Amino acid sequence: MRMWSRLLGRRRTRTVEDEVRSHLAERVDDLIDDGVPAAEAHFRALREFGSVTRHLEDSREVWRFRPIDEFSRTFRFAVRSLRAHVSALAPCLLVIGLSAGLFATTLVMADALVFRPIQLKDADRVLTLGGLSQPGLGWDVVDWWSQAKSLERLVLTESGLATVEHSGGSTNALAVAVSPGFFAVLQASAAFGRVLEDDDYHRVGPLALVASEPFSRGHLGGPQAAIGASVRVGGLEGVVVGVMPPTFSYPAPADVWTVRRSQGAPQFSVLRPSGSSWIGLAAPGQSIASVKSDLLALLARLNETHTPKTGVRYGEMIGAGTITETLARPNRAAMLALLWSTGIVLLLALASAATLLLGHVLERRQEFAVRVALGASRLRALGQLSLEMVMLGGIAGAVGGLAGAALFNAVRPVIAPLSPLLATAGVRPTVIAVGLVAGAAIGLLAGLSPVLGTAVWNDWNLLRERISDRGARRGRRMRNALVVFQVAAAMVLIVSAGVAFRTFVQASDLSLGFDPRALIAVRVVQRPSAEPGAAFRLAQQLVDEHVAVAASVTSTIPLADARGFLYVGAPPTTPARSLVVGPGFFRTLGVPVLHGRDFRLGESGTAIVSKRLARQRWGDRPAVGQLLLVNATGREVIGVVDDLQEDLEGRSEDAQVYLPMVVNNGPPSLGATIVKLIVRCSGPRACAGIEAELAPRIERLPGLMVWSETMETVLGSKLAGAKLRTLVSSTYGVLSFILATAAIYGLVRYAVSARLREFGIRVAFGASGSSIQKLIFGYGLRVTAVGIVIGALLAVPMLALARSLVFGLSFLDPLAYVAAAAALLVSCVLAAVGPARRVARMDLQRILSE
Amino acid sequence: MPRPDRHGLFPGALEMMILQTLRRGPMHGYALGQSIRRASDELVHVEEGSLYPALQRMLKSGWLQAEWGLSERNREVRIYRLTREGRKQLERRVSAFERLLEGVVKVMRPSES
Repeated sequence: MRMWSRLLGRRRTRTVEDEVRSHLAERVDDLIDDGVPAAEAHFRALREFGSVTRHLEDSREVWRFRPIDEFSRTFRFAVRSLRAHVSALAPCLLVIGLSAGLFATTLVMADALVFRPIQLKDADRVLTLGGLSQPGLGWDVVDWWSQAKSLERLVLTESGLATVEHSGGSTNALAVAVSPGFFAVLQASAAFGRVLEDDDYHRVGPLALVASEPFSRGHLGGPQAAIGASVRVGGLEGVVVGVMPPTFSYPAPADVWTVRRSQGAPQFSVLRPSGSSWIGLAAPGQSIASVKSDLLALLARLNETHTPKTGVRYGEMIGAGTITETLARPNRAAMLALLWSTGIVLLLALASAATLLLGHVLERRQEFAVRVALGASRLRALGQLSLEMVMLGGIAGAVGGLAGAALFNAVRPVIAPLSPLLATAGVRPTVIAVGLVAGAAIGLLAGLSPVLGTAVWNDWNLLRERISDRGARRGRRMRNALVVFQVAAAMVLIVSAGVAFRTFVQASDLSLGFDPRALIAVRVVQRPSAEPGAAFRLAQQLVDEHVAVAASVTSTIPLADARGFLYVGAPPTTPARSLVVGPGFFRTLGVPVLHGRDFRLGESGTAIVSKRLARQRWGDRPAVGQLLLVNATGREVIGVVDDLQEDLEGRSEDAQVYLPMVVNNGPPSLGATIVKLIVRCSGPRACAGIEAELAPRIERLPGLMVWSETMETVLGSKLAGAKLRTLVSSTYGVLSFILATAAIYGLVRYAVSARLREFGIRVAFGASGSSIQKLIFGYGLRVTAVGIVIGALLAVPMLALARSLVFGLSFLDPLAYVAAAAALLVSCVLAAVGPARRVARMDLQRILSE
Repeated sequence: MPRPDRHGLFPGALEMMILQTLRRGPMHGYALGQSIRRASDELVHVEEGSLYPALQRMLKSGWLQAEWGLSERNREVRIYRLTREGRKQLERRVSAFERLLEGVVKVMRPSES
């Protein structure tokens, strides 16, 4: 644009130049015609014409578009000025950049988790439905609910962890069996190959499978190579027909999708079912309420017509909500907390940047005064300053915003445990744009304070003093309050970070009641032909052959499996976590038997209780020999063992009741029998060896596949939430520390600039340089100390409130408060060093004479 | 408040004279200046410093058109031509000027009015 206008301007100038040339030539000819000698005629013509340059400039001026010209001049000035002050403005750039980056990262996360958790064109019509899964009807329930007129399509998904055997080995994957129309409802198409089609449901032969992009990459040799690959999913033959794009994952984190067979057809077996979900596509113009009432009418009919035959009551409730809402709900509270923290940090950043810029502009007051004295209008000077501030904010915001989006991609692997949605989330350009605008807005708002501050300077022409005493005092008080607020907010955030860190450390150090080291949990799917007790015999074999130190069987793996509770004992009953275990379970886990004995093979009608349950039921009396009511059956307590701690956040005090495993049948799941082996090995290397040893042994059971994990891995994934919380709050803590340091630095620098004359007078009256420096440090420390006290007082109720959201937070942790206060005092000293050294280098007496 | 012209002309007078001169026919810049000087019996001498910026202003306003041509001395010159808009502008300016002149005359010679 600028180049174009320049080109245009040059062409016009040349035209006028040519015109002036011909004008002069005509005049010379006229003069010669009048008898003037040629040489004199030339000079006379030039003299009469006057300054050619000025005439050209005047002519060019006519074509100029003044506002653009003016703006371009101001712009160039602002660029020059920013370049000249880049080192002085560096802290401010850092503050705005950091906050904009943080905002952009939070925004990208919020977008992925709450605003757009699934990428759908017609998201409002896609509904998740609850209350439809009705077992034992003897026919396909999808057909029944599909009678709802308000639904265009209805889909059922059933997912579970299944073993996928492929040419490269076998792996455990989240397999999802979907009813026809699943991909159509979610408006998804395959990136390679195709999605499931209606024909796939009727075809005899291998199951048609669609793989996720990461799964195809990790196990099938890449998306293209995966197409046509033969695999076995949960014991059934399958062939990969398509690979989805990386952004598609429903229900996250699904690895493979396959056809849901109709009732009676063989299903693939899962190691651990992870649930079913219903998705409906509402017919155009149908509301959630109309879909709900439609389904309720069908439910009423089901109760009416089938309950008399089956004796089962099919419930009264139907849940319906948009898929976006359903996916966003679990993360809303966490995101709200995150946005809240980001809001505080943004406020801090804004205040810090404003303080810094105010100090910066005050230092440049002489420059402005000189420019005004030289004839620049006040408005023009203000305009230039405003543009400078906007540019500063814009640049810092843009860089920070882009860095924030990049940061999200970088930390994605770390934050992925928070939600599977984060693994597939993309960074939308709109979100980046919002981040950039926000960054620029922070800069602009922060820049307003020096612009407004400058506008109220009483006398711009004065190089000596600018502000009336009253105004100065008021301004100082306001700035002090601003920094006190910043220090207080930083205190709250740093204390939160400290508390989160301590909570994490406590969770890591929590006594689990067993030793998770060198312990593997193995899930075995027993074939129906396997004899009862085969898995336990395998465990015994491992010990007898010295493959394992100890081994046993259990219905549930502590920490890893969902916890089931029973109410035991005669009323008032006691809630207790129930586990069905084989002999040797406690030895394997390393749980000491405190009283009595372990289970014996083939034993029934007995129970072992945890120490806590024993105390709750019988106090100080011996528990062994007591009768305990479990599921309306009296069982003799034969032993007391130490407590297991499965809740790492310590929100509950679990009591356990152990029942002997009589027959090796865990909870039936899609036609399979699952039993869990617990194996203790002599060390980590031995554990890896046992895993390889186990596979053929389980095949001989006969069993199906092995899925094993070390208890340390389980523990690590359990701690992921606490780790993430620590990471997030530490990030906020560090950021607020930087911001508080910048704010104190800005304040002290500003105060020093404003008090130079006072310091000069003090020096004139005999004050030493070190006493002036003490004055500066003292001022910074006073403001910081007030901020720390207010922050500490605010942190207690705020963290007490957060305790209701995050269990296990020790909000009165004195160490966190002391550490935060110390950090802020250090930041104050760091911030005051620069200005104090600057003053030390100045000739204060000369300032007085200026 | 309108600024008095550098040459003692009232604001807009130069433009009006240029328009009036060009109504008689297209002309280049130098000839325009000479023509005004001759028509005013040497009373109005248009300085080039005012003439060319005025011509640029009028070009910009669309009152004139300019194209390169040849002068009587066979020299390449830029010849100005009145546009329809320029003609309308001239009429407006002349009528305003006549009203102004009438008023001024009435003030100056009250007895005759």
